[in-house]
Amino acid sequence: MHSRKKRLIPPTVEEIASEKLRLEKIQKLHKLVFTEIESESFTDEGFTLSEKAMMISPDIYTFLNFRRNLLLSKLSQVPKEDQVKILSSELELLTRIIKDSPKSYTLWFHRQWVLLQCQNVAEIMTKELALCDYMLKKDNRNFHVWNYRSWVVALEGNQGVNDEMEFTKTMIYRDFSNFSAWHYRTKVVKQKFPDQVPVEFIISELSMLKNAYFTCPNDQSVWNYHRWLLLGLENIKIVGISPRTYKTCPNELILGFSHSLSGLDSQSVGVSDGWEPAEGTWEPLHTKPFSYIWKFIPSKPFNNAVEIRLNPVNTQVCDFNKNCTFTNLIYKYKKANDEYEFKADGQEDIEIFEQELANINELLDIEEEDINQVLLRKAQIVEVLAFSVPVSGYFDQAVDCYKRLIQKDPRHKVFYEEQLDAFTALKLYRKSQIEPSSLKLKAKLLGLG
Amino acid sequence: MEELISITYDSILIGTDTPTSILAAALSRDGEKILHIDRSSYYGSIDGTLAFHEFLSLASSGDSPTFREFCIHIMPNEDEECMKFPRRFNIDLQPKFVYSVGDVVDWTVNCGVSLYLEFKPLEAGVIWDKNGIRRVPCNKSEIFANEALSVVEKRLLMKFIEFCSKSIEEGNFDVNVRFVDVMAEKKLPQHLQNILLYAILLIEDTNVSFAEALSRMEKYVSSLGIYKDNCALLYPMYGSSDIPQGFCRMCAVYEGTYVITDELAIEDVCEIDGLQVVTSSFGPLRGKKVFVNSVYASLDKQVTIELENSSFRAAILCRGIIKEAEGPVLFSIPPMEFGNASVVYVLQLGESSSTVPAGYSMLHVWTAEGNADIIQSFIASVPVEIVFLATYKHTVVRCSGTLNHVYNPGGYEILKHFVHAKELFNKEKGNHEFLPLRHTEEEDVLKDI
Repeated sequence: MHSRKKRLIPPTVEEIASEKLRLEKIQKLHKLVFTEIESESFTDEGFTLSEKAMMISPDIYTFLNFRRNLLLSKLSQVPKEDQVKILSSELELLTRIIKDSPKSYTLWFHRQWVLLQCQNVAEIMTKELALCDYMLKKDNRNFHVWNYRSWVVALEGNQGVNDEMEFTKTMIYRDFSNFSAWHYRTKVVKQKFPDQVPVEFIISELSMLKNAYFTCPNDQSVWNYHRWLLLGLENIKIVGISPRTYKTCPNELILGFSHSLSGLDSQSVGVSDGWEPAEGTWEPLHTKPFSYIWKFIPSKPFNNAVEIRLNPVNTQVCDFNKNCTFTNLIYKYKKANDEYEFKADGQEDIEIFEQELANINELLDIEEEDINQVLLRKAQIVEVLAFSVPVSGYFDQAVDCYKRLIQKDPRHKVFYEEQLDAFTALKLYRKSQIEPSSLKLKAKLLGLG
Repeated sequence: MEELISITYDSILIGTDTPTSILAAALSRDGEKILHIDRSSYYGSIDGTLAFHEFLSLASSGDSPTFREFCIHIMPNEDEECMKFPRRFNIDLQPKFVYSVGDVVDWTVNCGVSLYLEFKPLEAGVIWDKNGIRRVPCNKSEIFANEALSVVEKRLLMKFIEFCSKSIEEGNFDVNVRFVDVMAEKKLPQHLQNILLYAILLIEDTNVSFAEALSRMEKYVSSLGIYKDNCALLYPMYGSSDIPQGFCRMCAVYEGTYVITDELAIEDVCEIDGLQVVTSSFGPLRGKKVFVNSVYASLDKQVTIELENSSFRAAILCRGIIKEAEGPVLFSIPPMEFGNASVVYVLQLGESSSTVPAGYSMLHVWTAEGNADIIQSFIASVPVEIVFLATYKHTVVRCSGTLNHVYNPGGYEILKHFVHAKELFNKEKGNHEFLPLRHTEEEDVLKDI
């Protein structure tokens, strides 16, 4: 399917002539079928013609609609046992045709329709899964087959989720350079663990991934899955605030979060003024359900050092993916000289991220040259670490990665620059080290113009 | 008999080894009247698959330029099955295999000889050393899944393979440098070098050039997984002589005449009245041209015989089987493991190849230089009982003189056999088509429209 070479030699006179003949025959067939359709009757001859039409021109869904009507008419005229026979021979016919045209939307839809007419789906399921196996062996990236497979599994109420895990694992071991298999695996993992993916599972997946990215470090599908896997471990954090420092108490706080959130209230985010809890209202910057930036307006003006705790147990707040939890870092304004400066206290559990960073560094050490995909993933992981471990060298490491990427891969310069901008604009960082190019983005993100 | 001597043939070919048989088929397809003869009870000549008693008889018939120094180290008892039913036990004089994708398959399929042949996927990539017998990873998926290699080793091996792919694409490398030197320069550890040389590329001469190794690698990569996952090679069922036999059959289908019998004595070839006359025990055989293989080189009174590379070989009949497998297995014994100066290849044929009955396996061993002690040494490391052990030397000979000599390059690949046959064909026939297409695929539903 992939790497089909384009024909370089122009066709000969004989080839053009025989192709013309072939097309004339096909047009004749089409005319015959349209005549049948217009006659508005369901005959045996029409049935045979529609079969030929399905084989020669499967993408013309008018013919398939016609065939479906023919089948319905046939099914209504025969007893139940014969119905099963008709439908199973239709499935067999479809199997033959689909093997020649594996990427025809209309044929797969037709197959779904036929399956829905069958009463005994449970029996046929093994055969359908076997067909998917066979088709995926021939082309493991055919999304029609993957979609059909997941549709068939869902028909029977997703009972086989463990089998599906095994299946995706087999496909990955057969050829891990396969976005479809990894993507399907993410869906199956979500089905198996609807709330939070347990850490033991993540660790075992990471050990398989390590073998994969050492074997083929520039394979994007592996890093995609790696990122997805670790996203669930990234806690919701505050990544920026305005004002960052103050001499006189602020009237309001504008907070930037790492995830876009909805439903913020005083129960989920505890703001205190010195020792006392501060009452107030939360407003999202954007009117849509989820927003990265929220404004807190205290009922009474602040007097003292402000402290913000993100309550780990919350019922109202959710992030877009509904699977992240709040960090246990505590954010405070601390007095330094005659100003208050925003700082984060505490440390998150970052063991998994540190381990992955160590693995990636091990990989980069063996290579003579940086590999873009590896370096980008390193930058992303170091970003997470920079926000999770408040005073650390991780910020510099992340900036360094992006700068190396900008140099190594100028084709994607703008992408790396934007990532770097967003990162530096949002970071808790000393005023003097924020890059000027990010001011515009920063202002935008903080809703200041 | 009378028919034989009454016709003047366009070409008379003497000897039924692989290149001579390919040439016979090609000439016959081109319209020549062919007489193909061999003094033998079997097809294949020096590429033949011999029944047990035929092998014993060849072993006692003395030295020839091609095969000499037959020595039977272990002889079975008279009541052994191979002595009572020798036709059930078959020995390849020079085992052959075919890459799943390539010119050999294309030519064989195009001209229709493939209809007479059956193949089994050959499992290669099995290293046999002092530590035992184990399958080593031979492609990306196997490297990924392999538990014995560390992630760093996986990366090193993959990096080198990627470097080779890049070199193939860009074509900018020093053609004279040796493959082993390139591997050493890239600091590939010895055990990984062994995997590449002996498990993947099946190199026999360690001085092989980088260019030759790359072309092997290309063939290997494009042949992987075509007929069976992780297999690149095919072995002909019933033994290697089936290949020349298939071409002889094609020649016969196009009205070639065959005389293959022990009772045919071929005495002399001389020119009389512009025709070549072969004096035989069946009478004088007349033809416009005569081709002889190396067995009959001495029919040419002015022949010069050059000895080219030689190999040490063994045929070992075992009760039992070393590695259970669906089909034939090729073991690679790296140099120095059992005192062998160069790599030793061992082809295991069990019941599935239809060359031996159930409960037995035939091992075909070959290496550049060796002796019986080496063989005893590695056989002692496996739990099978040896029923028969014979060793012999094979030498490639190049003959020239007044007759047309068909060069047989030996070795396990038959691409070169094709190439030599084609050269001889082109010399006689200019740009006539060599083994033209026999079979065209036809369809179709459109026939009745």
